Amino acid sequence: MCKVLSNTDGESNVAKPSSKSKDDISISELTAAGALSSSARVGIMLALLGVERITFTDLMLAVKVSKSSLNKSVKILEQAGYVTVRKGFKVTGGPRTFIQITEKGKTSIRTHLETMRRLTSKYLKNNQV
Amino acid sequence: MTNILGSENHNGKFDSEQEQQNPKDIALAVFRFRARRGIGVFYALLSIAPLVAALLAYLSAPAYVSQISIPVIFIVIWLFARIAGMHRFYEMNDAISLFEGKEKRQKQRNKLTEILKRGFISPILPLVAIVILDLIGLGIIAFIVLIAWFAAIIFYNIFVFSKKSPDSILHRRIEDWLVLFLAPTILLLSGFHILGSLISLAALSVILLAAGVKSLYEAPEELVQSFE
Repeated sequence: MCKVLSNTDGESNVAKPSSKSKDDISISELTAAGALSSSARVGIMLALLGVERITFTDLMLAVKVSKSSLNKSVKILEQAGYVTVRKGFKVTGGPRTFIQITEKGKTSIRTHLETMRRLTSKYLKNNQV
Repeated sequence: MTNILGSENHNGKFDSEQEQQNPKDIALAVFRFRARRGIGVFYALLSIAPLVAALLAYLSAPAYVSQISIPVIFIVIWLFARIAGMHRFYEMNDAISLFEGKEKRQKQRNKLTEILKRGFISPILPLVAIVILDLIGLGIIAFIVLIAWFAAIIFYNIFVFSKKSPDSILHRRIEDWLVLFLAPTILLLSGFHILGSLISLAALSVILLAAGVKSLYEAPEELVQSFE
């Protein structure tokens, strides 16, 4: 299952389709969307889908990775246009970095999860036969 | 499930720091941390309400000051609790459901449940009560607000706190139970009298404060536990 669905930038383990079906298009979209190829970044996007925006500190606490690693992930998401990062002040203390999900980000994560779900069920269905 | 969603980083290299994390766990940890912190702020701030009421009474403030101060206090409490994280419960549940592929079921929710889930009921109910009482005479305003608040707490407990599902955003804890039982206790102790309700609320506000502090103190702890 993982072999079929895992993806990296520029290459995929899935054989190239001879004819375009709905799933084939989704796979090529997914492989192009490298920003969502990490489970942690999918997690960040999923969290942002729920809370809309979050401070960098809170996110770092939740994701439990180093500051530099999280910074890298956020930058990748920002470059993809999925989140916006801005400096601001929090009522309960001092300057903060806020990460906010964009409309493009919302659409992308929904599409990503929906496609994954569809591919998983299709794969399971094929294997059962 | 982690591998299904990809465990390689943007450059195609394996990221050892992030590989073990399930997206759902990350999202749930964020949601629980924020929600618990928001609830903690809500409880803690509610405990200062009787102090404000007592201060106004001590200062013999005009009646209209008391009338205005009550909705203002509620709005301030609500705003601070929202800032701390006590909102977007519906969206949080929606995000988790989306991950689980249950979005279709979410869409089938009726409108009332949706409104309640969004948490509008808590600030609105006391304000509605105040407006109605403004129209019929102001005698028992504090007492009615207390009843409205009681209803809000009940609604919150029913609709915000989830069942025993492992994916619940908030699990009901001892402080939540305390607050849940606090409201009817205040009503009973008050003897259905304005002054009595204020005195009993003031006397029991220490429980609210303790519940709030406990929630605030344990919010980061809950976050850590969610990964263990």
